[in-house]
Amino acid sequence: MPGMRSSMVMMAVSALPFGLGMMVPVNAEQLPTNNARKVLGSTCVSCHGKTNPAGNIDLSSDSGIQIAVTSGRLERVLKAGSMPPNKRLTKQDESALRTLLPTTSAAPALWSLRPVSNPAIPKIAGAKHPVDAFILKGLKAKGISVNPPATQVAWLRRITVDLTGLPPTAAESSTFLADKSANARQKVVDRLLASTAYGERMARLWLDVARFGESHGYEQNHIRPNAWPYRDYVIRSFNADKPYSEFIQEQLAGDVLGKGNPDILPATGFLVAGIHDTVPSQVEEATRQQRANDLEDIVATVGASVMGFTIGCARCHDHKFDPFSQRDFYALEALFSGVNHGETDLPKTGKPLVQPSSEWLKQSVNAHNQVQLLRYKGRVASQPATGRPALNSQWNEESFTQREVTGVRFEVMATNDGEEPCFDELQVFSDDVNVALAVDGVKAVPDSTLVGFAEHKTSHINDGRFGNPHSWISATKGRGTITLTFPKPTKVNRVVWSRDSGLVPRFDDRVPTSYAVSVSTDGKTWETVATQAGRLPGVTYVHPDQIRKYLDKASIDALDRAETAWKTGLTKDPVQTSPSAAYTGRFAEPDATYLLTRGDVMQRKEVVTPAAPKLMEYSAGTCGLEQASEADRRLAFAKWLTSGKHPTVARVIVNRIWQQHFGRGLVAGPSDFGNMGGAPSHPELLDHLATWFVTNGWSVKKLHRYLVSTDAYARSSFASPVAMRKDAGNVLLWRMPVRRMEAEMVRDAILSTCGNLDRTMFGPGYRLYGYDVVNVARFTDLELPGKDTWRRGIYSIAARGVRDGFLGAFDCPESSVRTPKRDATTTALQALALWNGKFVNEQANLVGGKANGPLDVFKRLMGRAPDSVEASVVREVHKAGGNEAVARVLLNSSAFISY
Amino acid sequence: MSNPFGSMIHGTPAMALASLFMRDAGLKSQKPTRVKRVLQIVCPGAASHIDLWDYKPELFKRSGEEMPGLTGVKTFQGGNGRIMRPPWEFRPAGRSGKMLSSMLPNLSRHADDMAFIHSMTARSSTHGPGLLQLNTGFVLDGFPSMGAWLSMAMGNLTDNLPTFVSIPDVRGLPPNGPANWGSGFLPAAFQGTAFNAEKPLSNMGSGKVSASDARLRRELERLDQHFNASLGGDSDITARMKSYALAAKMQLAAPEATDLRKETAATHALYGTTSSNPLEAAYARNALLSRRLLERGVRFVQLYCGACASGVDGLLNWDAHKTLKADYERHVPILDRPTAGLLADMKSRGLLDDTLILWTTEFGRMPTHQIGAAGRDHNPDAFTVWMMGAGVKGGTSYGATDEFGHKSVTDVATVYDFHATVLALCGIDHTKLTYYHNGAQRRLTDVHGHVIRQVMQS
Repeated sequence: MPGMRSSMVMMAVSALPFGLGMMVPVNAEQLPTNNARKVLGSTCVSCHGKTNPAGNIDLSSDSGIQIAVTSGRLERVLKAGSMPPNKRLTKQDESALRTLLPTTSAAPALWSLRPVSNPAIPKIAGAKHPVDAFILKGLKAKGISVNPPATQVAWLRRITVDLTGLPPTAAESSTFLADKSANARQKVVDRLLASTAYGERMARLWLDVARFGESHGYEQNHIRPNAWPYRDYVIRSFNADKPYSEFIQEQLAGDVLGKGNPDILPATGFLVAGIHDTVPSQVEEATRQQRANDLEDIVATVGASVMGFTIGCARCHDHKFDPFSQRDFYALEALFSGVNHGETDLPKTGKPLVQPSSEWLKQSVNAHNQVQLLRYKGRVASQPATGRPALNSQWNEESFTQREVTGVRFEVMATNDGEEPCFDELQVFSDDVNVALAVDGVKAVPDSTLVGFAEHKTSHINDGRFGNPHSWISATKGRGTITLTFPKPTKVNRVVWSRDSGLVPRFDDRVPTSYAVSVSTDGKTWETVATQAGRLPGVTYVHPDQIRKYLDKASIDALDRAETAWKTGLTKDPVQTSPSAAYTGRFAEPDATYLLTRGDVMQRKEVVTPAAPKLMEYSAGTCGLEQASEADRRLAFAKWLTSGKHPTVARVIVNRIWQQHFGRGLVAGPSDFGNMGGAPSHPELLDHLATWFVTNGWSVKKLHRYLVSTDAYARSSFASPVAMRKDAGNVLLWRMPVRRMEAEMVRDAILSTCGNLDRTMFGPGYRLYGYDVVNVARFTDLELPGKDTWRRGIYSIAARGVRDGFLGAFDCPESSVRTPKRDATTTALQALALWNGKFVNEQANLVGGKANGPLDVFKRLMGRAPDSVEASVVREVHKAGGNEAVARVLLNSSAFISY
Repeated sequence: MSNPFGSMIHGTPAMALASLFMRDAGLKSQKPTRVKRVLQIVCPGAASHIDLWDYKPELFKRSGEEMPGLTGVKTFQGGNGRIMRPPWEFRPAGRSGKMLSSMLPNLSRHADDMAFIHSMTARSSTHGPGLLQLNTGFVLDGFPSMGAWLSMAMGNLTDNLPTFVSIPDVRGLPPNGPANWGSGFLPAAFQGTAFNAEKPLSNMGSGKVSASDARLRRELERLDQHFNASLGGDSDITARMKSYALAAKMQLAAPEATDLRKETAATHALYGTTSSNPLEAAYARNALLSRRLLERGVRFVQLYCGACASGVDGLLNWDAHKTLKADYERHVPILDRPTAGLLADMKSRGLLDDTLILWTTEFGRMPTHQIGAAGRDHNPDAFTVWMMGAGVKGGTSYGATDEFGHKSVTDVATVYDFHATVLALCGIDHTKLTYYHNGAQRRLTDVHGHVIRQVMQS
């Protein structure tokens, strides 16, 4: 890159090749004067030189001088007369150095820190919309002519996917195509912005930026059960067109702004949406490090997502590329140091709670029982036939003559290890149906329950959930009695009990070895119907993997099918969950924050008080943070960010929305408005939009309307050879890029066009993987996720480090990191996932079964009628493979996956 | 050699030029070369040159002494202590008597075929950027990887498998992940496809393509052509069509190519796929997979031994900051036998005659220990890479570091020089392999690079 190295102030950077845009050189008038440079050289550089500079301030380089100046350190030492340590500066030397200090008239060097301007709209013939005027100005300068408008069909697909993440339906297309009114397009935009799907689409964008995931990450990586209220808050906020300023304020200080309001309280989930180490350490250094990592995650996220700066880089040293000092980082850390990971209770609202359906729970119990019965069959076959089967931890049963009862009692007199007996479930069967579930009104009352364990509770006895984490333990060694009471007389003939019948059993202790099962018709008198008499001794344990060798081929196949069905059924949590708590973080007055030498938690230097990054105050005014409580300080900071004067907050969000619509931001690095993120391609347009946005009340919906009503947005995607030669990357926007759908859009589009998208909004999400916890979380692949995963992708529970094969192939990002812009790669693996993948073929078969011939399949999937070539293709395909094949081909087509 | 662009002449002019560059007219600018394919072994985390390849007697003699000229010098993680000798002795290897670490008994047997470059230097001392420079020439994201450049320049040898395959370690992806095999601003068709022996390519269907399946694919292509024509030939859509053609062939060939059960017990033993060390066995399976892929026409294979950094330095890759001895006693055995087995196997099958093999890491390590620890900090000023196989002058050692291995001092080489040399071995002038992007004719070697003729056969 010729010319990039010359006379640039960012000396430290010049060793790096610049790949992203242009560096903005520091204003010449801010370069040190010769006099100042002399004083620095003679007085300061002996300590603050290149090699091992004291306090990490290298005053031999212009970048170091800039940092000393912009971080306020120089001003402080001049004021205090504290440097050099062993003598006083002469008056002349001091005034020479004072020429370096920023004056109120000196704008910051970095373009993005300067105040947002309101540039005059260029006078360009043919530009009706201000935004078009700015764009045409750039294109005219390069002599590039713009594309003509896109077809109605192409425009409808573009705007519909863009604003809702879902493709248009055939009905929507025909309504639009039949609407000959002048404002037909505006009506479509209004309809889309008013749809609930809009908030779901926008939430995906924001949750990427906010690194929202629903597991803790690190070694244990457990699912965070109450993270989703934050996701719902984001969806609701976009749908309500909450002003962006309020949206930011609530996410930084919703605990103050939303006190008592369960709709706002989840907002601070933003602060703690990132990873968090849940393994406690006894070592002071490790504990401090964990806390420091949490705080860096918060500071870096607020920095990058809201302010558009990589401030997290200044944790260990002054920022290498941008004018932020290490002190700026710790001042922000001090501001957020009252925030801790954790959930808080939400006030009761009386709104309907989100409940699992009892039908779902029964299916899940049934799937479990199918597996355990087959395993039991194998276990029995592994034992000698000299007695009744030995007891085990997974499935034990006693059958008796069918009778109508109101109660069943299970009394334990001894266990295999003398410890308190444990049941993960007590089932009572009427033929093949478990009639003892709590959801059917059956009450389980034990004589005692071990207290203090979330995994061992009375309510677990008949909750239809299995495994140690859902079990009950009595409080008496070796003994315990459970009484089940039915709401009405019920026919029963079998009792089944288990201690740990999870997918992979881990426990075979606490198994009852002496017991009596009794029944009652009046709840007073009890008749014993079974005991352990006649059983083979001991408690046998055969690992599920070993059981198959005792089974015949048909049973093995049946077991394989049953295990798959069970695992698939595990994708949704059956017991969830009213939004009675949310992962909002917990707030407390913090201890002091220290500046850490090189970020080392054991090397504390001076105490740092909360403050906003100094250089931002030039544009945004002083951010006084003298408030009494840490919550009030966060609120004051949030208000300072959103006063309308902050240099980057509005620029950053308008650039994100621009990127959403045009595929590429005006600033290419949407979360990096520093020197490495690249300068804007259209700086005046960016400022025009930021000003317009604030003037229009920070309304994101208005901004969409403003942007999509431009000629630029309506242009065709045609790759005109002449324009391609001048601007192949379309930086100047002579065409609209044709874009591949994002991962969740692809999945949502397949489900919706095949008629299978469950549009249930909000509440707990679903898992596209199997999940269980054995100290650490274990995630397993699912062959084919079940129907309960047929909701929009936004409701998929993203676990850190776990990428679904399908979504991952389409560049769905890892939620541990902030993703300001998704990749859009094209790979053979995507082709294989769409062509051979079970999910796509399942959906193709489903829609094929419903559709009325090839043209109907086309209309359903593409949301419009085919043209002549398309019609000929689908007829040919239909001849070869019927409706299902037509659906499969169309779901694979580029026209389907693009918008 | 088939043209992966097919009818992609409508792409951008630059793209059309690029597609022509090595394929039709462009092939003529590639000099005759023996190199048909490239295997790049990558040890992420900065594998220590002075503990493995670059013998420095002074480190043994003066271990525990103050390192001259190092007082106050800060490296990546801060301060450095005294000179620390390698935990293991070095021993002469091969006819040349090349001194190599005694921890590498198996790889040492190949010393006479290796050409070492001991005077490497890198532009970053941070793993992510360092690894990106090694793989893309630039320390920033967004540039095409060497495998992508070579895929574009050399085309594909087979349609049955991806042209460029990256085989991540069983423990996870390297620092910066898929960017290490990305295509940057080159067409997506040239990006690496990642899979390994533990998690082979999924969605391979039945492994068969029926007549009706082929008919459906033809109709899909017709549909896509129709759509792409309406866009005037969009490069992304063209790449997408190409990806389906590739997928169809892959689903037939990949299951066979990745099925290690077809190998003899002797071969498995040679690589160590049944080692009781599960990490060695996993890497051995990936090494064996590499050979099978290269044999079947994959042009460029990237084979990783190590993943990204973990919470514990040096646990998942070669980044031994704190406990070098323990860390390398874990990592070196994972690398040594399977890699040596791979080299021996390739040699006995004649694959070394037309395969270029590269052993690489992103930078080196300090001759001193870190303060308060028994490991070494990052050192971008000195590290070693080696080459072997087609066109390489085996038994060579090019360049040298100072007496401590601290800085490259003789015939100092850069990553650009390394890339220029790899391209030269592939018959390509690194100044002529260019691609227009954002106003510049981009190269793998930026504006740098000198071919190191000394490691090449004349």
